[in-house]
Amino acid sequence: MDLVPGHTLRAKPLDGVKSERWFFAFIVVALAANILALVTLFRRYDFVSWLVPPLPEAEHVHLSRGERVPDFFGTTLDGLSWHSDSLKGRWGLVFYFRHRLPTEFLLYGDMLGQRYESRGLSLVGVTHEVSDELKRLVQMRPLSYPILVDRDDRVRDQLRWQYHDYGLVLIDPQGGIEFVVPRLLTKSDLRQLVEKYLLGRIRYQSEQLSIRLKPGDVLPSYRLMDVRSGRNLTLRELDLTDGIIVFFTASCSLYHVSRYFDELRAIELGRKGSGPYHFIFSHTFSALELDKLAREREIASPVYLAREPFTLLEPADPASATAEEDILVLRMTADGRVKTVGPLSDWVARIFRE
Amino acid sequence: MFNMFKCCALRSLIACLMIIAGTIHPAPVVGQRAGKQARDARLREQAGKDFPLQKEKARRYRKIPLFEGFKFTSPEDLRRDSQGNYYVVDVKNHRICVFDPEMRFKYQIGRLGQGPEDLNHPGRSVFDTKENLYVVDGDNWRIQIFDKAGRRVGGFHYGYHKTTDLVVTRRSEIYLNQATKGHLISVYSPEGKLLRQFGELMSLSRAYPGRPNDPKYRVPLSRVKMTLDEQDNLYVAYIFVPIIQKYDARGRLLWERRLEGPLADLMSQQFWVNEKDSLLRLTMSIDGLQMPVICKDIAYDDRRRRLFILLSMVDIIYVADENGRKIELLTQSRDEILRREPFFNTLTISQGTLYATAGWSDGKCYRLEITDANKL
Repeated sequence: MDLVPGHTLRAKPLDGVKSERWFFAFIVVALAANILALVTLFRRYDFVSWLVPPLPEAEHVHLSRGERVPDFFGTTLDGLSWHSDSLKGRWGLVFYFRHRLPTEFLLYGDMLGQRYESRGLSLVGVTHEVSDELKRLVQMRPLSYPILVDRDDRVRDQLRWQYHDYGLVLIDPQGGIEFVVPRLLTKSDLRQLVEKYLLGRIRYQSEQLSIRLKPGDVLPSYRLMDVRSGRNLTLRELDLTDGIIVFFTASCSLYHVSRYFDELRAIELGRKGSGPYHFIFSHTFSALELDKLAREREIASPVYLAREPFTLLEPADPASATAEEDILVLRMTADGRVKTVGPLSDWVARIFRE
Repeated sequence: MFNMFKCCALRSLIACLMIIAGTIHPAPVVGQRAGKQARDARLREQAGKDFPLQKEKARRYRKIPLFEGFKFTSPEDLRRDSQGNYYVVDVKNHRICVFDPEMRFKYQIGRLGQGPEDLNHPGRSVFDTKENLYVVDGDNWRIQIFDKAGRRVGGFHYGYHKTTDLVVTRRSEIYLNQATKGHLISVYSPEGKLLRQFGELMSLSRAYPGRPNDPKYRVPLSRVKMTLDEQDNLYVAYIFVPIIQKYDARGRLLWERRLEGPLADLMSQQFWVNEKDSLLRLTMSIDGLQMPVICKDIAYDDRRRRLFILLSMVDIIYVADENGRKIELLTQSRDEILRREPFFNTLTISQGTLYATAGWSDGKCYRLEITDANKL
């Protein structure tokens, strides 16, 4: 633009209020589009991780094998105080879960804890919050080990799981750490770890299991005895239609059985539309003790004692038992065939979820 | 002033709309279970009609189960030493099972733990020239070195960077694929000293031309399987990309080739197809991004000078020459494909014989017999 001497530059006046409205509407649309574009960009590219690199899992962040476990203490779900001193002289398996309830781990841990209690295993759970789910689980199925409530994350920080939602540490009787991971283990890994340190050997064939029954199979005609009446009968004579068989293998201790009876009674009372329960015990149990236990626990369902090894569910020699768990649950179909077969803890976890 | 505002706002609006339009693209396939039945039905249908194998030359192979009666939980690698002994990594039992040439169990190396001789989810294993066995001790973040008797003779902690594979050169240099360290390959000494790194990370636009160059894919796409030839040249097959590369012993890229043929093209297309419609059934997440798998393993046969690449789709083996040019495909019979036979996760070659493990499915090891193998 040529400037003429004496001419002054002046802004062109706006064309009234209408132009201003259009202008502001345009700005609003442009801003909205900008925001949308930014949101899209942020969703597409991980700018945050560019600016703030993820925390390195440096060695010093975690506890490691060979270190001594720090002292920790807390209050259990029942409001009792608990100190890590109580683990002295025992193998301590401490696990942590922040929010999400590892139901199957809790139940399987309980089974392992009971199985190896006499060999010196003590379990301790640590949780950040007491969820309704956890309360219901403990109400339905009391656990044999304490769960510490760690609302202020003190125990978590002492065990250095700040950046994780789960953690597990195995502590030897002298207080040294044998194994530590910032997560929970699978059932198989947990069993291997416990067997390695408390049994001195790992039973690798467990995955083959002693269970040789498949869905759709018909149960053989094993010989049984009704514990209450003393009557001898065979498995085929039972009314298995839509029923549930709870089979206690020879690896089960009587203490273990008594604990499970409480739980089974609770399930028995609360069952909805399922068929009859049949509690069958391995041939190694004593009929007298079972009868006494069933009376004490007021079990209404029939209780049977096997008169011969149930070879499709457990080996003839109890010492060679390699079952993942001690108690099995068989669900039967309307025509008396096997619908599912699996460990009790899986079944309890499924009922709990339902 | 008003004009300037208007101009800026208009440009900004157009730019934003372009960005939004440009960013709308289908995400890679995620999840393994959803739509599985529909995909299986489609796979069967295609296998019967226009499955790409119909259009390609494919030689049959037959699988012979090994170690009958021995139950692995999850075998993920099989190696043989010079005496013909078998070494099988049984991942979920945290051990290496050693069998004699008659496939009788001899002993095991390692068990679950964090002690010096322990293992925690072992992965790839490989022998060096002295017949020491190197094993990736995955969840302990270390390499364990055992002699043939199973005694630990060395090892080192490689830091908290995942590795998908391990090879050991004739000079006992250890190559690990640690993409999170910024390069494709990290080279370590047996004592654990980082000697050098080489190889560029894979970009999305290079892997799948036409895609935007999104940096979040760089590390996940740079996960590879590796094998060495007799001159220590390194061949890599990308797990999530239909590309193979060859590096020389000094780490220089010699060539890079895309997998060829209708099947490879189909796999590339299927990578971006929505999971419900994808024929790539196997997906994997190594760096937090679930993606369909293209190549599961690579092995080099120094007798035939051939590369064998195990593809994820119905266990087809892609055979290439040492320059990466496709020769042919190896496949199971159509009946076996339709029966959904167990799929393999690793492929190894020992003395000219192919071995595969099916650790993710039936937990068995197999020897693969190729029809007219001499003509390969």
